[in-house]
Amino acid sequence: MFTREHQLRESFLTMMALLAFLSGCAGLKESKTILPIREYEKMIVGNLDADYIGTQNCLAACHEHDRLRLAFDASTMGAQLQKDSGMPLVDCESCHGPGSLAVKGLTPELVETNAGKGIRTACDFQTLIDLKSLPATAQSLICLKCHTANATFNLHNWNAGLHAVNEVSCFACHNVHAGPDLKVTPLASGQLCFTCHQSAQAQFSMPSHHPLKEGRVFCVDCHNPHGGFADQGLLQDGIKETCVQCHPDKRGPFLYEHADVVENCLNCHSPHGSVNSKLLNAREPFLCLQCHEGHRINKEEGGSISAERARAFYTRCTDCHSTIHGSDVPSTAGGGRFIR
Amino acid sequence: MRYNKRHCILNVSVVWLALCCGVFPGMAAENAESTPAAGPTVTPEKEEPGVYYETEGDYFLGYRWFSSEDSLKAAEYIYPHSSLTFGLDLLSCPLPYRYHANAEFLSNYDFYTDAGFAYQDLLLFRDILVGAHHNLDHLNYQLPGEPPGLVYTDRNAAGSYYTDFTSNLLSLRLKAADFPFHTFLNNRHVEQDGKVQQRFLLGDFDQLNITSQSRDIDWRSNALKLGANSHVGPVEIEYAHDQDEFNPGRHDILYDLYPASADLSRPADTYPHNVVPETESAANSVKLHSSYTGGIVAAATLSNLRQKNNYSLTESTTWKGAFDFSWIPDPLIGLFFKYRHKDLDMDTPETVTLTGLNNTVNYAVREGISYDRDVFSLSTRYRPLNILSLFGTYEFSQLERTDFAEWVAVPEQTDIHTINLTAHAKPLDRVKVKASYEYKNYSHPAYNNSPDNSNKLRLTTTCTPTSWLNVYLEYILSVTERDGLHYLNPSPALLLETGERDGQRDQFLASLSTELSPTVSLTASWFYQRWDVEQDLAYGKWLMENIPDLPYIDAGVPYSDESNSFSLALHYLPREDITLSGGLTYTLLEGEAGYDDVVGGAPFSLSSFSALKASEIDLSFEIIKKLSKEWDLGLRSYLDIYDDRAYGLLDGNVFTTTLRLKRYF
Repeated sequence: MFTREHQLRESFLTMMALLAFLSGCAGLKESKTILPIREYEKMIVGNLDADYIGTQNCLAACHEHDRLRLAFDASTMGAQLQKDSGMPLVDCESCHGPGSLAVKGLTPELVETNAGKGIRTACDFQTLIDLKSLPATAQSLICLKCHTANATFNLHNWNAGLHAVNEVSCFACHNVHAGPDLKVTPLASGQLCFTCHQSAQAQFSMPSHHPLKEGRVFCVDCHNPHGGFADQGLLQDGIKETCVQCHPDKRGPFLYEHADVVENCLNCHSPHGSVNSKLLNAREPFLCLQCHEGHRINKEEGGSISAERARAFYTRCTDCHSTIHGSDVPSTAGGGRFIR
Repeated sequence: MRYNKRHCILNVSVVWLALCCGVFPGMAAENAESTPAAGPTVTPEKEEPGVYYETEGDYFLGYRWFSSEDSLKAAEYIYPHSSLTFGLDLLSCPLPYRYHANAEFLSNYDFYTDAGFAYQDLLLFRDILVGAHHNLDHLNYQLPGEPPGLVYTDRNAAGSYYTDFTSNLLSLRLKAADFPFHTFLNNRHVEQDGKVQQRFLLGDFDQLNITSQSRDIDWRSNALKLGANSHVGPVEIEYAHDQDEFNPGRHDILYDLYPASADLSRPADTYPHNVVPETESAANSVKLHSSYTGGIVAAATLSNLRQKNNYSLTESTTWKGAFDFSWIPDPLIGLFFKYRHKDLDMDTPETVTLTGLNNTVNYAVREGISYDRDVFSLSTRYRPLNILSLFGTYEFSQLERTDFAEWVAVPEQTDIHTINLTAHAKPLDRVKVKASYEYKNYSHPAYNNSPDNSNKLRLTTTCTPTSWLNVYLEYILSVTERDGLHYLNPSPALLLETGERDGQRDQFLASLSTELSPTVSLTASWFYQRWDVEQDLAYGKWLMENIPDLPYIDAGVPYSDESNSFSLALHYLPREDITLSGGLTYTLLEGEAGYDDVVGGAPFSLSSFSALKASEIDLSFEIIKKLSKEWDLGLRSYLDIYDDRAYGLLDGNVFTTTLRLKRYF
């Protein structure tokens, strides 16, 4: 096992050293697309009769968008998309397409004169790319052109992920014009997710729930909306890995595991909310009796056990089997009965 | 393990330095030759003016009054004392620096802060700190027993139980200048302090002492991730190292006197129990993907995880692999393939020694289950019309267990076939419809709550008949069936394969949002959930004195959970300077199980032990008065009433009022 890890580590080091050497090559900054989708490229290239005029020319006369421009310049993108960055498209026209036709005939003087008369002078925005009408994949493609070199690898599983496959575009969650920080804050993620996942919001209204509506747990604590290794867009590689982020005492491995049941916490728990305490799928003892034979319910000499004994055996199984998530101490019979 | 951690941190540091050394000189040379941005312009760019983003935000100071009656179930996540509150929202961009802070402090144990700092695009730092107080139920132990055979003991009958949870998520990212190479550090630190109700059993079947006591906890968990990634022409690559540690603190082991178990050769003694073990893990992962912008995109992940329990010395090693492939040959069609592999190898000690104060007892240990899981998934998307998208997915999952010989009830292999067909349509301008059907087939399901077959139907409609009205309807029906349930009878040792189980889950949501006027908006919703299952259950049985028998089978035991939740939210601006908002949620819960008296003449009803009948009313009201452009005054009240109609044990209510003064800047 150690040899394997050692080899893996050495391979990483070699690979990264090679990467360091190669990264000196300017060509490596470029993105190499495999099989461009021509139809989408056509949609997002903009009006072929128009020219690029630069943000300054685009906005100098029209102060409608001063605030947007300010937010954009103050963002990470603003810091990255400078002229000398080597990127072919910058600023407003990166997404909206070339703008010369939109401002044709407009001058700062005209705009100011009209403004003096209380008239708003609009540009011919219909000559720009109609972003809202694009197919979701084309919308996302506009963002991915630059974010394919993302800092976080958040988008690693995006293309075959649930949202991308189901035609949910970046625009559905990210408002590029909202302010300098385009990320959705954890606190805001709940309301954002619930605009589509309304039943999930309703599940959190159950008496047993994680404190999401209280603002102390967030959708993004468990889910990665960009897709991931596991189903349901989980943040970690599996259900258990996700749950033990906050419930580390259940991580294990334990000497006595509950078979491989606890690999999937959802066998017993409903994480969004439940009518039963502790987010349980069903109340004890039914929860346990689904898989396990109950304790003996008659006496050796015949007849039913007493009411007191029945209540002890058939009310809260975890009163006695309290280490149900895994145990390191043998039970009386020497097995893993989860009572120690 | 500590050595490993240092070694890995060193590795990552070396890699980072090596890459920086490689990247920066290359960049310097490149900068010297760099040309202005490509792309035609109609007029030359003017000199870019300096960007000045004015600092903005707000802060508030307030006080929250708290009162409650009876159980704290209604105040599950509320710190049960009055407290000073304050908050801050700040965004400041004295470029090239950017700062943000969002904070809400309701008490020492109930807070949220999100703060960040960035320098150009070269450094990004963010820290999210959350504190939550969780009031826990004190389960009732005031029950009659049959001394000495059955005794209930609550050593802290008046104990109040809670946990204070604190999570700090820190992330730091560094980018190489003018090259998409990044290094990052993420650290999640979780602390849980408090007092919990520890339940356990002393004795055995002939001498049941069902015990409860208070247990202090001071758990600490730390998960550190270090890594680097870079864009390298046609691909991007990332390497990351994870190191997790969990420290259960000072109260990790409880000790109690256990009576002798003569037939099992365990003498009376003080033994450890309810151990919370210290654990640690380390993982390495490599990710590689092609450009996201192509018609073909591929992504691959390989990772190795090693976990260790420092109390029992149980270890596990996991290898995980993933491969995603998407191909969009045409905007009408998309094909998506996913493969996931997980190989878990449990390494359990063969024996364990139970060490008492005066005795030691050795036990053989059943080997933990190891397994290989492979999941293949193929999805297609077809968009024949602008108003219609069709989706189809087939998934095959194979779980192959190894080292399972001692686990009689668990099959060697479980296969799951899943077919999903979904349609998204927009038949009218203002109407969206989604329909989805999913069929699953399990071959050799391991657990009784896994079905042989399941069918799931989901229908969703969004309708916006006018600009001021939105209606959302969702219905989910899930039906499961299972034959050949498995019950392991301990004596005579036999795996029974008998009985069946049928389940049905219904979920319905109707929501209506409307803007009654420019100043009034209202949202009303109804959420209904019902889970019905009917299953054959098994109860242990004596044939006669000292001779156990095969179990009683309680055929077709019905079990149900049902909830109805009605909510209403109102937002009203009676004047320009006054905002009113209110919310009401009324939730009704019911659940029952219909166990039979299989023995006959039983002086009890098992069903009565686990009934559920409760209601919860959640009412909130807020008024905000704008005093001036910079100042406003807000008052928020919250009432929650929980009514435990079945047993009355969790009855309670909570009322909080918060008055706060806010200033905008």
